[in-house]
Formats: sequence, structure tokens, C-alpha cells
Amino acid sequence: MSENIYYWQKVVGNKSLTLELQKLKEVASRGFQGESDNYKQKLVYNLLETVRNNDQKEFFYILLKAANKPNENFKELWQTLQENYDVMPEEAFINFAYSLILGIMSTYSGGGE
Amino acid sequence: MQQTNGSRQQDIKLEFTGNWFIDAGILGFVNLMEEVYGWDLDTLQEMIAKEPEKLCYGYFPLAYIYYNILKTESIKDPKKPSDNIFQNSTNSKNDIFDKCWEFVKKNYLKEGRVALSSKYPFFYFHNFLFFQPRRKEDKQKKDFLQILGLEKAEAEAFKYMDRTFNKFLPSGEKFSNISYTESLLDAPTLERIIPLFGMFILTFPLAFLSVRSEKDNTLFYSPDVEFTHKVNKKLKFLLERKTKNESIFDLSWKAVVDEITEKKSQWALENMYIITYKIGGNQEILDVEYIGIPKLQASVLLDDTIREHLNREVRAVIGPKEKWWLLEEFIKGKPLYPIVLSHVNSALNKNTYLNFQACLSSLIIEANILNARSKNIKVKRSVLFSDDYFDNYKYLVNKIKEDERYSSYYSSLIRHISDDDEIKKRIARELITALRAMDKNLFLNILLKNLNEKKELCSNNNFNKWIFEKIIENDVSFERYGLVLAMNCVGG
Repeated sequence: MSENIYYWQKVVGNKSLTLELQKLKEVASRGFQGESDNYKQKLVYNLLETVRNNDQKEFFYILLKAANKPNENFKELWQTLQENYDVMPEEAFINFAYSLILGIMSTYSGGGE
Repeated sequence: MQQTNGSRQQDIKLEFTGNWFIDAGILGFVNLMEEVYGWDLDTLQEMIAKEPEKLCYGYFPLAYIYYNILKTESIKDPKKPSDNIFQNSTNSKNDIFDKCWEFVKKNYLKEGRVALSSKYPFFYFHNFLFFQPRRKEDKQKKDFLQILGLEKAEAEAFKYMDRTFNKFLPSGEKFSNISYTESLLDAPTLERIIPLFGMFILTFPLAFLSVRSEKDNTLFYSPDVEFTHKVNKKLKFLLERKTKNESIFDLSWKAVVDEITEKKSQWALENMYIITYKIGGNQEILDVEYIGIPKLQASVLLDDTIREHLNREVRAVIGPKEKWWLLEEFIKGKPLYPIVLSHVNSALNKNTYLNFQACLSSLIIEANILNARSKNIKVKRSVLFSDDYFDNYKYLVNKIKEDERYSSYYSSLIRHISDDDEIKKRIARELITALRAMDKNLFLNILLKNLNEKKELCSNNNFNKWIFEKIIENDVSFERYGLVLAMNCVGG
């Protein structure tokens, strides 16, 4: 869906900020690549619970706690989260959160084409 | 009707005028002549150019009276007029008409009057002039002379065109200012549209077919006489040969579409209207419908595969209606999603048959149309002057077909979510509940929670990507794709 590359755009000063769901998903996927399936399944379950309740605070708390590791891959995730957090409007939270979760889910073992 | 001996018939051509009421009369005229004498449109065109007098004052009244008697059975086995009866006549209108009337008097008289009856298709003309049971032969002849313009019109009905002539107009009394302005629709006005309009007014009901039930009158109307004639003729042919299992709506589309494919005439389809009416006991017009086919729908319909998939009836209880023709709703521009949602829901809960392919196509078509529209809104582009419009939406049609292939496969992967049919049905039920609540969050939550148990499915690249693109990233038509997923869990 190439027309949806930029899910959200906002201009702050002279800078145009964009929310790219695709990028978000890829970054999450790269970040959690090395973790164990069991751990990720539990994490996904917990994250899904918070989104269900639209609890943004809890969602980011759990996510940041999980990504708070001295791992090269997570650096990219932090950076992307930081960039996107400002741009994300309230109503885009659901799409934002599910993109991240689906990214994590795509790293389970046993997948393929 | 004021002119009595003018040469107005010289200008008659069997071409549509753009006034659908008169055009229906022209089609009825062609149908009548074809039925009685076996002349096709080309022959009629030739005759009307060469010998209009014989056709209009001889063959036509004779055919009309004969056909009326034959259909209403007011005389058993009426004598059929031969197709060369006026061959040796002169070209004098009055001579031709006299000869015609002689034949009528000899063969169609019953109790001192021409046995015209206003039954069946002629009920439209109940109590109209020569149909009145009290009108005797001499008066009936006068009526015919007047309506064909051979005598000065005396009857009020000829002067002001109102309900007596055309059931789609109000009655004379309802034209409240008629005494000051007179009706705009008077004989001279109509004559400017087409000479000898009286003839075409008489044949109006003969243009219609009963498509949906015995009582309805339906006409597929396009601004081209040849095309309209062919479509309606083919439809009549198909209706006569209809087997029990074939739906009438299906047949009518076959007729229309066959003709279009043959003639490759997108233009005709885009300008086609379906006109339906019923006539009540007091000759009131009921259930009148004019359905036009929008350009977008026409383009989509011209594709064989898509049309075939949509040309289905599905069971879905919405309001008092239980069965829906997807194609019909699509042409009317109504959303198919609620119908499919209700159909899938009843397949799930009542174990009724799920028409998977028809539902899948409906949802994908609709999703793509919605996406294309929202794209146009985003870039503030008017559809009317967009490339898509001039490209006849070919791009969109290709996109729909591609998406259907792609989505039908990728969405079907959800069937691996469990080996147990009951579990899949439970998931389908939950997903449908979320769709009904129009809650994207709930839908995704249910979907991902269930998926989370099936690791290989989550990390299947194609499936994962499909969910991301069609549901998460898509705020315009995610329900359609969501329902496709739920349908796959129902099975079928």
C-alpha cells in the first residue's frame, strides 16, 4: 500500500515530522529478533492487554522496559520511538501500537513465505 | 394533431428522441411490428423511409388491433393480417386507412364494435377512447383517424397531454393553472419532438417486459434504439426459456451483458437505465424505479470475472428482505458490506450455506473503490476529471483483480490458526462481534491474541504483511478485509 507510506504528518517549525508505520514495524522486528519466543509471546500478550484498555502509559512502560537492554538493535528502536512519539496524535495510537506488536510477532521462529 | 393533411410523416425516423416516454413508444412500435409481421428493425427503417404511409396508416393500425385481440382473446383465432396486404395500394393516406379499416370491419367486429379490450398489457389504456366498451365501430374509427392525424382532433385528450395519454403525468385537474397557461405538453409540442407521436403513445406499454414478477413492467433503456431493442429482445427470449433454477435478474443481466460484450459498447451501458413500474387497479402507477448505471459500476461490470462473481443471490436478513442480488445492489450504488456481514453471520450461526466467492469479490471490490475514493479526496482531486475517469477505471479494475488474487490466498492462511473447526468458528464469532461494533482496536486485539498462540502463522511473511497493510495501516476499508478473515474461519 504505497499510498500509505506516511501514516501521519505534522509540521513543527520548518521540520515535517512523519509517522511511518512500516518503518516502526521493521524496527521493532529487528530489535526483538534475538529474544526467545516464550519471552516475546508473553510480552505481546501484555502489550495487547494495554492497547485493549487504551492505556498508553502502561504500553510504553512495558515496551521501554523490554527494550531497555544494552543491545545494538534496540538503539534503533529507541531512536525511532523518540522520533515518532512526538508526532503520534492520540487517535493514531492504536495503529502505532499494533504495528509494533505485529513487528515483534513477525520474529517468532518457524515462519517463512 | 392540428394538421390534417400535412406531410409530417415524411420526417419520421425510428430513432430515439431522448424523451424516454416517446422512446419507449418507438420501441413498443418496433416490437409490435416484429411480432405481427416479422419485420426486424432494419426492414422497418427501410419501409418508413420508402413508404411511410403504408406503414403508419395501414400496417400499424391493423397490427395494433390484431395484436390486442390476440393477446386479450376477445375473439378466438383472429385472422392474421398478411405482410403484403397494402403492397398494391396507392400512397394516399386515406385510401390506405380505408382499406385497413375494411379489413378490420370484416374480421375483428364483435357486437357492433371492434373487439378492442383493455386487458393485460393494454390495461394501461383502460377507458381510453376506442378501448371503451361502449364505443361502437364508427366512433372507434374516428378515434383512430384522430390519433393518426388524419382528422382534426376533437377529443380533449388530444389537446392537452395529461394522465389520459401518459400515466406518468398528473391528471388534467391537477394542472391547476391549465386554464391560464394550457399544458406545456400539448399535441403540437410533442409533434415537434416526433411526428405521429399518437402512434407511439399507443405502443408505449408494448415496450415493457415482466422481469421480476408478472405484474411489473420493466424496460432496459439506453439512448440507442438498436441497442435497446436488441437487449430487450434477448431478454424476452431468455425469459421465455427460463428454467426454474435461473433467477430472472441473472437472466436480464445476461441479456444486457451479452449485447454489450458483442458490441463492446461501454457507452451504452453507462447510459442505460432500468425503468420499472406497476399499474394498480385504478391505473395508478406504483413502484416506479429508474435505475441508472454509474460509470464506475459500468466499468467494473464489464469485466467478465468480476461480474460473474457478483451476479449471485445471497441470503441475508436485513429489514423485511431476505435475499439480495449483489449485482443489483452494486449497480444501485448501495454498500455490499452490510449484506455480506449479515450473510456470513447467518452462515455461522444458523449453519446456512456461505457463498464464499461472491462475498470475497464483493468485499474486495468495495474496499478498492473506497480506497480509490479516499485517495482522491486526500489529493483533493475530483473524480470526474481524474485520469481514472477517462481511463474508464481500467486501472481500478486491474487493481481489484490483482487484490482479489492476492488477498484470497493470503487471508486463507488464517485457516491454519487451529485444526479444530469449533475453535475457528469461535474466533470468527468474536471477530464479527468486533466488526459489528465497528471497533478496530477490539478486532485487532482478538485477532492478534489468537494468532499469538500460533507462532508459525505470526511469522509467516506474507500473512503478517497482509494484516499490516490491509488492516492495521488501512483506516478506510479495514472492515472489508477483516470480514474476509472472519469468513475464512467460518469455512466454505
